[in-house]
Amino acid sequence: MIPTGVTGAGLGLRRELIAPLQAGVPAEIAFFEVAPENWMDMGGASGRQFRAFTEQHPFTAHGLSLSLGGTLPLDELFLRRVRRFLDEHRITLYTEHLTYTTDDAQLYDLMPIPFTGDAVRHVARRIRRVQDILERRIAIENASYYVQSPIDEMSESEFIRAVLDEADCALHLDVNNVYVNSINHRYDPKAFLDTLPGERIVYLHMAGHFQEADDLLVDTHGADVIDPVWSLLDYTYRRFGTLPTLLERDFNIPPLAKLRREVAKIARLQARHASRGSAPGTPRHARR
Amino acid sequence: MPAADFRDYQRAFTQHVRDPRAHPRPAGVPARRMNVYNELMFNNVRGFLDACFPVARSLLGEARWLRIARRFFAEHRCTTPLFRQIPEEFVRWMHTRPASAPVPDHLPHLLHYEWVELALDVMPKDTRVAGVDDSGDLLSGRPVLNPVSLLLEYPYAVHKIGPGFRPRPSQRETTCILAFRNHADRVRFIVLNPVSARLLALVRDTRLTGRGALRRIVRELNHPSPDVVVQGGRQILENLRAEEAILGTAPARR
Repeated sequence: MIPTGVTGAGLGLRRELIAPLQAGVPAEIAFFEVAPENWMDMGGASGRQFRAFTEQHPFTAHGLSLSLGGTLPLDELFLRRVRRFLDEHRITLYTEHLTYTTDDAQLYDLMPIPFTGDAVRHVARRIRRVQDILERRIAIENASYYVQSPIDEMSESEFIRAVLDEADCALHLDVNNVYVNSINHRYDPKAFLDTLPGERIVYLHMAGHFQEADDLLVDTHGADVIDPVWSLLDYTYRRFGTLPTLLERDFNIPPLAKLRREVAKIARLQARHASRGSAPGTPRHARR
Repeated sequence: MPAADFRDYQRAFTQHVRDPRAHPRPAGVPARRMNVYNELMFNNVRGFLDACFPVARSLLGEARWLRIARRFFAEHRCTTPLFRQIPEEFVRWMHTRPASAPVPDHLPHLLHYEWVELALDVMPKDTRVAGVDDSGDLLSGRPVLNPVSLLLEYPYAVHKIGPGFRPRPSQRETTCILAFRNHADRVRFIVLNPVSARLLALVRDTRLTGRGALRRIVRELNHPSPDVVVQGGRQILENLRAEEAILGTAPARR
């Protein structure tokens, strides 16, 4: 649907991983992802090391602070810096969360937008503005959430589809978030996936989470991916094709040798599906 | 339920997240679920503060540090979208906040001093300047200060603050420090005497040669033996060059 510039299995790049990766990037890691907020205008050793990586490997960008659902005016100055960042590092795909991170200022973490018609129009307007400034279509990510808003007028999947249609943007599907939400809000994750507009999905995330209680999972990106999420990824590939897929790990970061095994597992699953040719629509991957 | 405005809901939600004791959670939201956000949001910001201010945190103790971080989260409005600039917002808030919650008089200065290390570590500038003669004569030439540097003046000896030294206002002591990043990307701190600090300020702010800057200092001090100042100054500049705080001299031709 939109070019991503990447294929295969990737890994979220963290500062902690730079040193081990400098010693050699494992073959199964086909690309990296970064948050522009963490790396833009970064000087010193970190900035230089980062540049060396983007010169040698394909990257995607996954934003954190844009606050697509916020009521504070879009930070257009920041967006122009994002654009410069994408250009500088030749990054094609920019994705953001379908959430908000602001009140009348920054709060720096993701909060759930109520699923209302008014919110759909509000978010879609902002996404279109972002796409104008970045001069590309972006992908929005389905977020994990812990509070069901009491003013919802539609379901989560209806909300996502309405925003995608009204903004004419792509979907970045976080498979772990689907699982987390299916437990937290008691729905069938496969049935949820079945309702998504497959033709808009361009990119996938995999991650681990923290189980706070039987009925409450928190999307911490601090643990290994669990088996039910692996089987959900298998189902996603079967249903939507072997899309580029990234492993996120932001806390309790294990040695690279362990992380690469999870990336390799993604790559193996992709290879199995690709050889089966079971995808209804094989995604087109743009070369850089 | 009548069509409620998502903006009102988000306002109630964020007010509660910022300060759960002062603002009730939105109607119809279960406490346990809301609490996930209260903790996630605060702990996220707090994590950036913990990482930047280890000395202040350990001196204040966990309970007091948490109270201050909580207040910051509730009261201050950060505008930067970049996480690594949250500590800078914290320092600014600490310097301008109302005196309603007293903190040690030296704390805002200590926080600034701790923040400087982070700021220089990632400052998006190069430590090398094109055209600089790194073996140029520092008296006849114009010394060039490393651009990734901050010339600092504190009312306390912030570099000595620790478990054994928690200065009271009676122990104020003007302290000049040059902080900079060297070519190997290490952040260094050099404590300066008043003459060295003045010399570096002149190097930074004027186009004087090394000798010119030192002669001005002689006049300012009304010093009886200019040669002593100039030769002492040369040694200071040479030492700073050895540390890569001074890079060398600017091209003479202008």
